[in-house]
Amino acid sequence: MKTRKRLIVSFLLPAGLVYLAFFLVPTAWAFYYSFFDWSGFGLNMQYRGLGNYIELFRDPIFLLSLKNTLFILVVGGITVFALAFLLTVLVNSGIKGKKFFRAMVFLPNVIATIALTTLWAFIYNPSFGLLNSFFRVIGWDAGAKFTFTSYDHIFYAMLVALIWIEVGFFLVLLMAGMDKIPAEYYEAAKIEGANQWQMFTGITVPLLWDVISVGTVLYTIFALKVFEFPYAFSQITPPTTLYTVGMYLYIEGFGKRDPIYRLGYATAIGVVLLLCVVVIVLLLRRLMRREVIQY
Amino acid sequence: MKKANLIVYVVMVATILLSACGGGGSAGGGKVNLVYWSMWNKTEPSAIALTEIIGKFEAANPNITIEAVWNGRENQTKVRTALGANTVIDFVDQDASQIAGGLMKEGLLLSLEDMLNSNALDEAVPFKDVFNPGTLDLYVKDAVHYLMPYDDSPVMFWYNKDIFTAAGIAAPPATWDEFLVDLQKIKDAGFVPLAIENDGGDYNMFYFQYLVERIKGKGFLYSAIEDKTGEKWNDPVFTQALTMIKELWDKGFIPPESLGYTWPAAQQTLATGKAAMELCGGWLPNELSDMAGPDFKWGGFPFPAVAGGAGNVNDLQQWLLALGVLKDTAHPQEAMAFLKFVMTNESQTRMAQALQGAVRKGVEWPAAMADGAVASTNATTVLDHADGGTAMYAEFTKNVLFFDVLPVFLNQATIADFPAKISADAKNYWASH
Amino acid sequence: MSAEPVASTQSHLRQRQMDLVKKWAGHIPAYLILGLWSLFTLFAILWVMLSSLKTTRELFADVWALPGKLHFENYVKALFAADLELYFLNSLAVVLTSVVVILILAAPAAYILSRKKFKGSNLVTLLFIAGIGIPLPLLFIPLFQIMTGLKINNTLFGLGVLFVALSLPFTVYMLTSFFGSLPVELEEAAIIDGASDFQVFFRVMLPLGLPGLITAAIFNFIGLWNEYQLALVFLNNPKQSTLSLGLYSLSNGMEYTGDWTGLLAGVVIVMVPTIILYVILSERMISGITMGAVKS
Repeated sequence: MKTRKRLIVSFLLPAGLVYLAFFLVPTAWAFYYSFFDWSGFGLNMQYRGLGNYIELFRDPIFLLSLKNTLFILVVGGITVFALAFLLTVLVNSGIKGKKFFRAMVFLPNVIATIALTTLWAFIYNPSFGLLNSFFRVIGWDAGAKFTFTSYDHIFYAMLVALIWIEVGFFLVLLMAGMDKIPAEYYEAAKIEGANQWQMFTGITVPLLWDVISVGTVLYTIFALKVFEFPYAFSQITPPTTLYTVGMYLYIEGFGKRDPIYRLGYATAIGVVLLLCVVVIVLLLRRLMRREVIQY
Repeated sequence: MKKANLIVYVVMVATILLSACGGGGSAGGGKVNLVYWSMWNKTEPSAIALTEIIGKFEAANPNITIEAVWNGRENQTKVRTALGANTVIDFVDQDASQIAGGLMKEGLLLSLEDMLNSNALDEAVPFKDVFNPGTLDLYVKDAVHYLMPYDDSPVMFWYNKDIFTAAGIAAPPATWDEFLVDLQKIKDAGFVPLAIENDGGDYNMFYFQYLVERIKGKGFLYSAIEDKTGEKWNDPVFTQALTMIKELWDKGFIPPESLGYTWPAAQQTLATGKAAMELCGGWLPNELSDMAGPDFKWGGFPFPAVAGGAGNVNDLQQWLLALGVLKDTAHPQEAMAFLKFVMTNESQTRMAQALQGAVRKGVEWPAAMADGAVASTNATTVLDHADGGTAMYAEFTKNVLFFDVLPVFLNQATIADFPAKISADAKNYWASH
Repeated sequence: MSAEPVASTQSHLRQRQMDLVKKWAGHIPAYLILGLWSLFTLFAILWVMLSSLKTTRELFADVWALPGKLHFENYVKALFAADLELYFLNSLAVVLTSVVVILILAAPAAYILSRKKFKGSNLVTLLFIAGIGIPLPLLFIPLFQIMTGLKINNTLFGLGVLFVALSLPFTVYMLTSFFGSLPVELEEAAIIDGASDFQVFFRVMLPLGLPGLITAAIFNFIGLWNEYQLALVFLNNPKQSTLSLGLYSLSNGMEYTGDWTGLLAGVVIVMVPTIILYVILSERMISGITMGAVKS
């Protein structure tokens, strides 16, 4: 028992202390600001109680950002996982070039955001972009004239690009888990005459359940916090239709192009965001708890 | 194992804490070191020009050194964070409207009045008289100057002279009606009259705020922004301005694919000779110079006047960059000496060579921006972004004004619904501010 | 009598051929989908690389055309004028060290949290997970004050400390689930053999968890390599900049310079190391897995 205590302390303490000093303490410190009206300049802080939080739920732009963020979480998440699974199964179906395909699907993850958004801007460009040109070539007039990045389409255009990136991340995650499943399981199933789908639902999913639940939690957190990619997707003044909660937090608190300096309010947005993360993650963990309990 | 771990840990923490307590001496001995936090990136032409100017200043003032920190465009936000941790910064620069809404509004800058009333460095005139008309007075707080503009980008139509010639336009339009006639000529000649970016929120707002100003004069839009009841947004000028903009779309002067252009897709059509002009700040010819090539003939003309309107064709919006001295500086005299030095003829000429518009009177601007110099010199009234809204009510301007105007500008919301929508949003905004 | 075996061999052969064809036919959708997906990504990368060799004028004249003449001066400009060559080394040093330190701190913690439950261990796990959910911009101001107090602000060392601290939640969480999914039997067998807890960790769990550690290392490396927000807030010294911050500065000046191909050259310089590292490490990942399999 004593050695065990010693083990726990010496293994957990270093990480715990660094985390406490450079993460939890500043977080608590930051949350304190959410009860104030504060520009972040000087010490001119006005106590506001729950004022920032009350304002949030009457703020049409915050609500719009929240809606967009939840859309990325739910619709984006289902699409990302469906595609990641599909590609994982395909990559693992015994084809040649497994490593090559995995690397290819993952690649967008290593490219700087500005490069990706620049590339997609050229793909979506209405006069010479890849998509419109393609539709022009095949003679589909409505497609040729479609504006992918207009005010009301740009969010979905951004989401497509975002999904293209994220699929690679979750593919790698799923494959790392899948490689641990002994090949004999599949061979045995094959001998018993199982088809691809049966093997997928009977072997892959149950044995990958841990990885799937980690992946779901990671995607949830990623989706709720996402800000850099949509922010860079429109490089000059992102239209409000493109806003996510993370973007709005940044614009309100750090005002890159406009002198909007509402640090207290931005912190309140962050607190709400964190609450969303904690609640949704706990919910997911409960939902995704294994039916068969292992001892 | 455990002990070893703990000891290492304790030593590490102790070292950090000790190093935090001790030391911290600053340079002394008669020499003054000024710290300048800048909005430029080190490799930009303006930063290179400023570095040279700093070198010359140090040579002329051997007891002063200047330490420039090239922060890039997030400069003021970085200054904010740094000031919170008591970092020494003596003076800063940034878009004037941004400092006005930040450091100046927060009362963290030093008054420049004494400096402005003293004589200029290279001419025996009061320093305040060397600035282009109106530029210095655009940002004042309680009648005190805190900002010194040193770089000017007039907001006007920047156009391709060859296309104007090809369309048979002898002189740029001065009124809205002439403007519409010329746009038609350009369209008939087979060019795209206007370049518009779908996501160019600030650029697109130029149309709206200029039209409101040309009809009602300076300050009307600002008074609507300040109206806490939201009633002022029912004034017909706003729907009139939006209707005039809609006409540009309806007549095909703005091509429908503009709805899909994200910056820089539209301005690139200007550079490649497909589009004739864009309403933008004076940085545009400079930004497009690589793309347009050396043979491109740039012209510029101010936003046209509206018949019977209170505004004037020479009321000019100027996007200024400014320097400000921080209130807590230990060396205000030396910092202001440098500010003055930036405004000498020589320094301003050097800035212009870095393809920036000068603020000093009579300094020659880069060739592509030549019409900008004329407009700045002729300016009767100097206008600010969103009629001053961005500087003083940045959040309202972005989250209510732009939020409601831009969808209408892009034909995604109707003009008829606009007054009710914006007055409701304005009322809602002021209820919680 | 004599004809029969021949016929059976023939039909056997035909059967094998049929199987092969079937197998290949079965793989066609896989090749088609993965091929198209990869083609698109490959195209994206190649486009960035080729465009970085054009002039900006050429790029916008025909976005999809091949460069006429290769303009390597974009790279020279990015590397030397924008100091990216110095930033490259800075990034390499700070990111590699941080990744190693992160793993040294996170792996033992994750091991405890996943395998050695104690009173309050769920709460600790939750605290770590909550950390992933915190939007980093919120921490800028308090962290700046702490860093200034410790006199490690505006140094690569300080940035490294932040990299480590801020990557801990994600890494701990990820490794917790990796360790949690490892079979219990090996650990038990080692304990029966008389191994101490420390020995179990170093001799059994670490080798088994290697694929997880490498995956975590890759994710952290890529994340930190491309990180510029923290660097932007905490570094002001042009000599102490990181590569992605340098790239950010390049893109930052676009509204005044319009040097698009120079920016893309910078992008390639930032991108190449991560691609190489990923290729090397993903090989490692697979060998790590086989290593674990041999042991069991």
